[in-house]
Amino acid sequence: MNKYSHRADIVLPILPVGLVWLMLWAPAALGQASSSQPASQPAAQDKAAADEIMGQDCRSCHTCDQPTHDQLCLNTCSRELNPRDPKMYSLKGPELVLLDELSDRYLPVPFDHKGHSEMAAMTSGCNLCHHYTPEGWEHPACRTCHEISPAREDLHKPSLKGAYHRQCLNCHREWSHETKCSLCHLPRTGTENGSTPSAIPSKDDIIGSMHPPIPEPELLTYQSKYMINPSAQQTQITFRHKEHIDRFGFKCVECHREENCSRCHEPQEARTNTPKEHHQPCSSCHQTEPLANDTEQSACRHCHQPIGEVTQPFDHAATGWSLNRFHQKLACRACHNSVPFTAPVEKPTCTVCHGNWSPETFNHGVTGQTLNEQHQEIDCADCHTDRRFDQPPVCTECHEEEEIKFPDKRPGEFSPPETLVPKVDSTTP
Amino acid sequence: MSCSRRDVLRSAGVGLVTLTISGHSALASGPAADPGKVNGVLVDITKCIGCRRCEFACQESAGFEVPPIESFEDKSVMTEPRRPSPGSYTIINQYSNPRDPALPVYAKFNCLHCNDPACMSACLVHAFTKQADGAVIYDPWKCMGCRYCMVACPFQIPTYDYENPLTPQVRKCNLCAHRVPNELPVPACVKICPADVMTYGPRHELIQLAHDNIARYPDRYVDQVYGEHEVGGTSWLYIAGQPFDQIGFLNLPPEAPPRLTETIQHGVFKKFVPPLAWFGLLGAIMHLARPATAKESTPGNQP
Repeated sequence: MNKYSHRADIVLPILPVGLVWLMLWAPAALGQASSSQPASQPAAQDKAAADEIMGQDCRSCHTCDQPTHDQLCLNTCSRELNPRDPKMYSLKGPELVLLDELSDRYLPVPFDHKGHSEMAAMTSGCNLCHHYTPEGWEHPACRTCHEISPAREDLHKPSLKGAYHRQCLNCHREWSHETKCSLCHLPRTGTENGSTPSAIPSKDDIIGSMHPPIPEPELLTYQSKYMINPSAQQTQITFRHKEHIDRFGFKCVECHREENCSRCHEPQEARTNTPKEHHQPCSSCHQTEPLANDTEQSACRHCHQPIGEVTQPFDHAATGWSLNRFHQKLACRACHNSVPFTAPVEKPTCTVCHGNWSPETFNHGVTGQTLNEQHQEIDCADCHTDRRFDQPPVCTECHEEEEIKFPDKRPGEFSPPETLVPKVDSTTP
Repeated sequence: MSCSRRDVLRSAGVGLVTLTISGHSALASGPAADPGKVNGVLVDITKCIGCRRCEFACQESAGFEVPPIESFEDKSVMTEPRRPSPGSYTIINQYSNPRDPALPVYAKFNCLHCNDPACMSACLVHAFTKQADGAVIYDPWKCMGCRYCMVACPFQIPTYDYENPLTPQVRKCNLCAHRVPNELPVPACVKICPADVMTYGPRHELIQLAHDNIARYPDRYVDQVYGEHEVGGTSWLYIAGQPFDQIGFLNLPPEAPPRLTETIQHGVFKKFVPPLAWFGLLGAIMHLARPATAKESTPGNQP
């Protein structure tokens, strides 16, 4: 009996305190619950607005949906977000890099950086490997972000070993189908305990597995299903590959952009390009769409020809301006400054290249016109006014126009330079 | 006489209560795990190059006699589907890749360390334990060799030392439970993998990572994390570029097998009611079917 009354002594004073607390707490808790509902609405709007302002999803930089100042949860090495130009391509990088950070089992891996950067220029540029370079930084080392330990803190990023291997395997596995370690890792030489590295390889011999030189084809022919006339089943397009490089001065990358190793190493895969995609590499210089006054056949016949017919190399004479044997050797870009070359040369004057011509250094006889003694002593500009060597010479500076008229009278012996200029015409440079 | 009957009833009552309590506790002891501490491994099948280094590291870590590492470069063994064996707790099988026939897909198989392991449920002698870190480990000193675990496993993983007649063991991956954390912070296969196909970490983080990757590269992966729900969830999780049934993974229901078997088994003895009802029914039948002569001869009927 005594026991129970003692318990009531404790419970009874607690009761009013508990009731008061309940009265105070309950409205606050309910208020919180009711206010949390509308609060989430603006948050979603904020996120959508922020996405719109930034032009991308928050998730491309942040790992959480609602970053705060205290918890930015930044996605440190985002692949999607690289401030540098993805097509950036520089020859300033090192030629050979020795990857030796994880060489406990193998020797350092020689990496032909220059070769790979040239290849990468055909696809994604430096970004392919240097996928995170903050503005104003040199490319950070891989280990800056990728942890060496396999038990890593940030599970989203591969470990250093994984990052290296994945980077290489992406392409190498695709085209060589070979994943032997010895393909890249030099085996350790020497005795069992002595793991002395063999000589550091030269850049010309990357463990004997450098890409063999790719022969440039003289010309390539492509078959097309486009028909010139109903009787022809197919047409053929000739592409003079060597000419485009040697003469027109194209760099490989200008056409072979957006390509990778599998272009050559997976040749069995049929290409399924649309006609427009087929024309695209040629369109920058060649007319690939019919003009208004062209019939379709005449326009297409420039490139699409019957099977067996090969187009001839470009002849500058077809433009009405034949070149002598010296100028034939020049790359088009020596005179034509911009592509396409159909645009007229801005200053068609010899002094662009031959600015150093002077009476002492120049043998005028090569033009077929050997100058007599009097004319050898005068300055070039006396006859070729304004040093316009492509124009007929002016004699009126010294002679009366009625007396001497070029080319009826010449300043010395003249023999038409048949051997020099194949097609003589008045405008031959 | 009446006093002794009361004693019998009293002891029966105590026994009933004891049984009920013990039965109840047996039911309550389901898969014990704190989801925050369960570790797992996420396998990105699209990254695997089939170098079989994990097979080598596994055998080495388990203390087997391992052939030289170069012998693992033989890819011809992978063309026929293999299963884990007593000498190799993990194996890689090769499957055709519909996206690129020249680049096969390689899938690694080993114990998936279920959240609710069927092998553990089937074991009569509690030779299997689910550790707090997620590993399902085996104690050969408890095992009596019944091999129920091999029948119970939905993935057909446990193998048996048939070639060792004296001290045979059930063999399966134990998630390198023997490892020293400082020397080998992750399982041996995870550590050696050159392409980081496997990621070791807390299971809930790995599930998040898997879904993140699928959302980030929807072209590369099928939208499924194998092991997230299969048989109640597993510690090993997989993401792949093609449907899982094309690369040797079974289509399994989300319920763990023990939930069905244990429900039946424990239900039979639930609160001791079904046995009492059954034996009561049998007793009643016996009582009613008793021959009349026997009834007359009972001492209670005598005057």
